[in-house]
Amino acid sequence: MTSEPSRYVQPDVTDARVNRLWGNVSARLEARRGRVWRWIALCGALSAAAGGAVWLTKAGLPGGDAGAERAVLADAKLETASDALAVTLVDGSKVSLASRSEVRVRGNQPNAVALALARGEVTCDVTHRDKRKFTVVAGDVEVRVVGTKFSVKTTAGDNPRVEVSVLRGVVEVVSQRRPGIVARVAAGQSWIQNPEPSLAPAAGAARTDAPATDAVPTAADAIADAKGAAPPVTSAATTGPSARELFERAGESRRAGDAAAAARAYEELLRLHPGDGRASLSAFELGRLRMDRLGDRAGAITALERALASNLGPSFREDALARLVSVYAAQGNYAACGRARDRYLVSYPAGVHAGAVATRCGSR
Amino acid sequence: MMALVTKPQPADSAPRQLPTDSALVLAARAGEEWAREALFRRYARLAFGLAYRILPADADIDDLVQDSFLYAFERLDGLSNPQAFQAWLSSIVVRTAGKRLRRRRLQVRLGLRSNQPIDADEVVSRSAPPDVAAELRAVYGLLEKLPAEERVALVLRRVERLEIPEIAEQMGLSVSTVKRRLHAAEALLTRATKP
Repeated sequence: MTSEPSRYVQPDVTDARVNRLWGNVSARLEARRGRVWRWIALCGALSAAAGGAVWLTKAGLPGGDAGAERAVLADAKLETASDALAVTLVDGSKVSLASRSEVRVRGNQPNAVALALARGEVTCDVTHRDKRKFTVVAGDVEVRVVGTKFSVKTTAGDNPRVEVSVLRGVVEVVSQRRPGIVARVAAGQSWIQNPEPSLAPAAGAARTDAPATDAVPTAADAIADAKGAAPPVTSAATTGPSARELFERAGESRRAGDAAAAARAYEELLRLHPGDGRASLSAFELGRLRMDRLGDRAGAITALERALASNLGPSFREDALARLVSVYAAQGNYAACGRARDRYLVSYPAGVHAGAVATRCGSR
Repeated sequence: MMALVTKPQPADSAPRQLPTDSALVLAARAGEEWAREALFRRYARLAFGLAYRILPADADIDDLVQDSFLYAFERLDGLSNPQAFQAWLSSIVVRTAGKRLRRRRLQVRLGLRSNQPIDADEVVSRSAPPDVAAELRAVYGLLEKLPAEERVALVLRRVERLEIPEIAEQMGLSVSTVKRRLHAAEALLTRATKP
C-alpha cells in the first residue's frame, strides 16, 4: 500500500499535452536534421567556392588586396562547371550559381547590383536595402528586386527560356517582349517565358509565352500540414493546371456534391504535382472520397497509404490510420487490417479511435 | 535487422502484442518516425511523472521532457541494450532535471529569478494514505532547501523508492557519493520532521 509514494505525486498529463509535446519534439528533430544538412551544404558551398575560384575571371583583377572580394565581383564573370558556386556581394546579398551556369556581374555597389545570367541558374538571397537597385537580366527579361530570395533559370542562346521562381518576398519582372508590362511575382510563384515560337527548338517547347501577368502560383495558401515549409516550386506546374487550381477545383466539386469530379481533381494534382505541399492532404482527401462516397476500397487504400507515406500532418494522420483499418476490415483483408491496427495503436494508444480500432480486425 | 525495422505484424489469431522497446529502438535508429513516436507515446507520461516529482514547481516541465526525449532520440545509437530504453530515458530525465536545478539555483543567486516554493499540499495527492502523505509533504517541504544532487537523490530514494545503486546509475554518480548526498539530505529531513 505504501510501497509506491510516486503514484501520489503525479502531474496532470492529458492526451492533448502529449500530442502537443510530440509535435514539438518531432519538429525540433526535423529542424536539427535541417541544421545538419545546412552545415553540410555550407561546407559544400565553401568547397565549391574554393573550386569555383578557378573559374572566376576578371580583367585587371588586383590580386590579394584587402578589397579582393569586392574587386573580383565588380565586372566579373562567374562560371561554373560541375560544381556550384556561392558568393556574397558587396551589399550582403548572397548569390548561388548552379553547375554549368554563367553570370556576369555588371554592377556590384552597395546601392546598385546588376547581374546578367547568360546560361544556367542563379539563386539570389537579397538583403533588404532602401533605394538599392538589384536586377538580374536573362535574355530580354529583367528581374527587379527589393529584398527577397529568388532564382532565375535560363537556357543559353539568343532566344532563351527564362524561369523566375520566388522563394521569399516579391520581385518585378519585365520582358522586352511586353514593354510597359511589369509582372509582380510573389513567394511561391514562378514566372516563365518560353522561347519565341518562330525561333524555338522543336523539342521541349512546352507552350508559348506565359503572359507576364500569368505567374504560376504554387504555394500561396497555407496548408495545415506543411509545417511552415514552403512547398517546392515545381516546373510541372507549367504543363497543366497548377496545384492550387486543382486543389481549389476539388474543394468546389466537393462542396457541389460531385465526389467523382473532386476525386479526379485530386488525382490530377497527385499526378502533376507529386512534390507539392498539398499532395499529402490531397491523397488523404482522395482516400476519404473513394471510401465514403465512391465505394472504391482498393483505391481508398492506395490513396491513404500514399498519404501516410508522405508528410501528412498529425491531425490527419490519426484519422488516415483509423480509416485504413476500417477499409481493410471491410475488404476482408485481415492480415493487412491487423498491421494497420497495430500501426494505429502504437502511435495513438489513447487515440480517439483506439477503442473501435482495437476490435476491428476480428480474431480469425 | 531489416525485419526489425518494419512495422509490427502480429499474427491475426494470436493476441495482439505491441512491439517491444528493443524493436522500437532498432526501428527508430533506422530512421523510422513512427517508432520514435511510439517510444515517445509509450514513455511520455513516465518522463512527465519523474520530471514533475523532481521539479514540481517548475513551469518549464514540458521543456524538460522535450529536451530529454530529443537527447534520447539523437543518441539512440549509443544505447547498448535497446530493451533498456525505459531506464536509460529515466536517467536522461533525472540528469536533465539535475542540470536545470543547478542552473536555476545559479539564476536565483544572481538575482535573475526568484525561488518558487513548493506547495506540498498541492503536489501530494489527496488520495494518499496519511502516513505516505505525511512523508511526502515532509520531503517536498524540504526540497527547495537542498542542493541539486541531494534533492534529486532524496526524491529518487523517498518518492521513487529506488535502491542506492539504482540512484547512482540514474544520476551518473558513484554509490559512495550518492550515500553521502542521501545522508546529508536525510539528516535535514529528520531534523525537519522532529516534533
